[in-house]
Amino acid sequence: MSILTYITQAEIRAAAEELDGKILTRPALLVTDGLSMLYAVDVDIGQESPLRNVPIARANRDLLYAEVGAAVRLRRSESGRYEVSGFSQEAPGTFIRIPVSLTTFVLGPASDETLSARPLTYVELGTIGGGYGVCPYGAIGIFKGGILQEIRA
Amino acid sequence: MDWRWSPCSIDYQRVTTVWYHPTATPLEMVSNTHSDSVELTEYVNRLSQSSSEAQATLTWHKELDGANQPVPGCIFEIRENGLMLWWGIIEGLSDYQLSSGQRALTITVRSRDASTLWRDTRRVSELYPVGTPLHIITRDIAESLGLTSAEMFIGETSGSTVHSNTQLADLTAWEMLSVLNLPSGTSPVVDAIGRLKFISRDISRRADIVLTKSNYSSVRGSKARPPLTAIRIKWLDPNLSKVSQQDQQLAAETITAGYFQIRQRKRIHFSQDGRQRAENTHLVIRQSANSSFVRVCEETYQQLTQTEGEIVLETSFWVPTLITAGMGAMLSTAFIPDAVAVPPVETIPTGRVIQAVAGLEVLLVMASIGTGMYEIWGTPYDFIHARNTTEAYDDSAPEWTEKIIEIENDFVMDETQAQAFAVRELLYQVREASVFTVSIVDDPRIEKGDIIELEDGERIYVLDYRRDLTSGAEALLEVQGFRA
Repeated sequence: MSILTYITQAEIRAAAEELDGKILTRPALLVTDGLSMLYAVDVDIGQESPLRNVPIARANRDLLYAEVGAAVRLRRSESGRYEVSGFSQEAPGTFIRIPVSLTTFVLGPASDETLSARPLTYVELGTIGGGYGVCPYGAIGIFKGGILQEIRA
Repeated sequence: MDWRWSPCSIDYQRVTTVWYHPTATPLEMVSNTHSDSVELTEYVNRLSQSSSEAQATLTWHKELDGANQPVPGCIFEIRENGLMLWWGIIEGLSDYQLSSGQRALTITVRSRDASTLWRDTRRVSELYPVGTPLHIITRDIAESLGLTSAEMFIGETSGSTVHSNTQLADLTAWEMLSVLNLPSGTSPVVDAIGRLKFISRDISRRADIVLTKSNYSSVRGSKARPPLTAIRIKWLDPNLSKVSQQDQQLAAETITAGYFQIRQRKRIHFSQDGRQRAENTHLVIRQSANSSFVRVCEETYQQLTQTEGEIVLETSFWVPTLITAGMGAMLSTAFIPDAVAVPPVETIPTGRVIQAVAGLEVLLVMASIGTGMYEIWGTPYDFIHARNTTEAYDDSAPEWTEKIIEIENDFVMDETQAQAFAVRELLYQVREASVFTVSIVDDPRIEKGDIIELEDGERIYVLDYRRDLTSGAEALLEVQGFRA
């Protein structure tokens, strides 16, 4: 490993404006001028809602193969826009919320708000939208706490 | 609660003495083995003390001139009715005044944890393996501050590290102690006699001290909008999650096979650095080594480990056998004598034909040398850490007031502990916003972190206290805290 690599890694670790995320959708073409293409994905960053249409850094072909569920690193630009810059060793996991009454100290039931994405099963393809044919094979379902929220074909 | 003291009655009379220790060490103070006490009581004009600080104004004629004067860094002790009430380290002497016949100065004393060594010096802890009890790490950090067992009041906890190679880095000792013990609901404090101990942050527990109405003289309170509506705990899941990518080409290789080697093994890593894991790997032959005249080898592939596989080209046994036999035949047939025809006529000598056949065999084998282009395809995967989020939120807070505070802590062991941690911190930090001050009959039992209950059922979590120990002052204790 060269010295340059060490410096680059040190800079990445020192940068505060970085996030770990989990890919929820397959890379889709966001914009093109006919020569260069910009792909984007939806990314779970451990909040209630995912980040939509996060561009994938250019010249990183590996990321274009990133499957749904892959852990990725997001970097924020000066203008405040996030971009997927590479793979990560960490990703958002479960997200559990507990309501608390501050007057009576009584806790409500914990709710699971974990975002996850996976290809829909044959059973799901057969039931969603009124039967086979409505939803294509390989469609990705985005779930919150195990409940289907949206489908990305 | 400081168990060395008994409850005080309303007509409690306290006798306060002040001592200066020029050479005593903190350990000698804790173990009460110091022998250098210099009494300053008769020079003390004003004296007040809180849980972490004391201020004394001294006046004298000539007695504290020169070497007799207290110096910063030495120990200053307050005793009440002969028993140690509090001690600290002199931080500074200020307001030095010199007037005719009298000199005065103010001494500021702080508890031992206020020093740079505890609060500012950044450290790196050792590496701890999975399953290391947290109280062991706490003790190690305390020992790195120079504390001995006598100076620690640390119990055993059931908490332990859940990650391999846990290390605390670039934190002060105080921050390390706080981070380590926050998930179990405790905070570090240094008590009145200089021992490191941990106080509970649970505000729903039973009160430590119950006061009757005659014990307190005034209660002042305020209520403020809580500065937060939710606490979000981010913790690293000890269980690794498997994440797969799409099936893709992992490596490519070009191998030449022929008579020259029976078996060729080529190790293939699934990435340049040899660390990429993959499964369902298989061989894709872009160009076979058998694509010339004759099939000369068997092309196989097997995955050896999670990160590498092996392509094996096994040349058929007849290939080297044939070329060896051919070369032998060429040599041996060279000795077959040819017959000479007289007179001269055209002839094909018998030996030349046999030699040509042997030569053809050799050429055939050599022409069968093939170069194959191979690709290894598979599904790369890796094990990653999931950073889980557990949030406790105020169920009655309107959405527009939302203010979430995030706490990141990797000493959380599981979801159950994370939920208890989040709820406890939410209650603590929300209630902390409403400050209460209660003036009570002095009670040396009270410490930071205690819960005192008033007669009307109101409960106060003690954040700090202050007492005026000036000669002739009322024996009152002003307790600051919040409604628990």
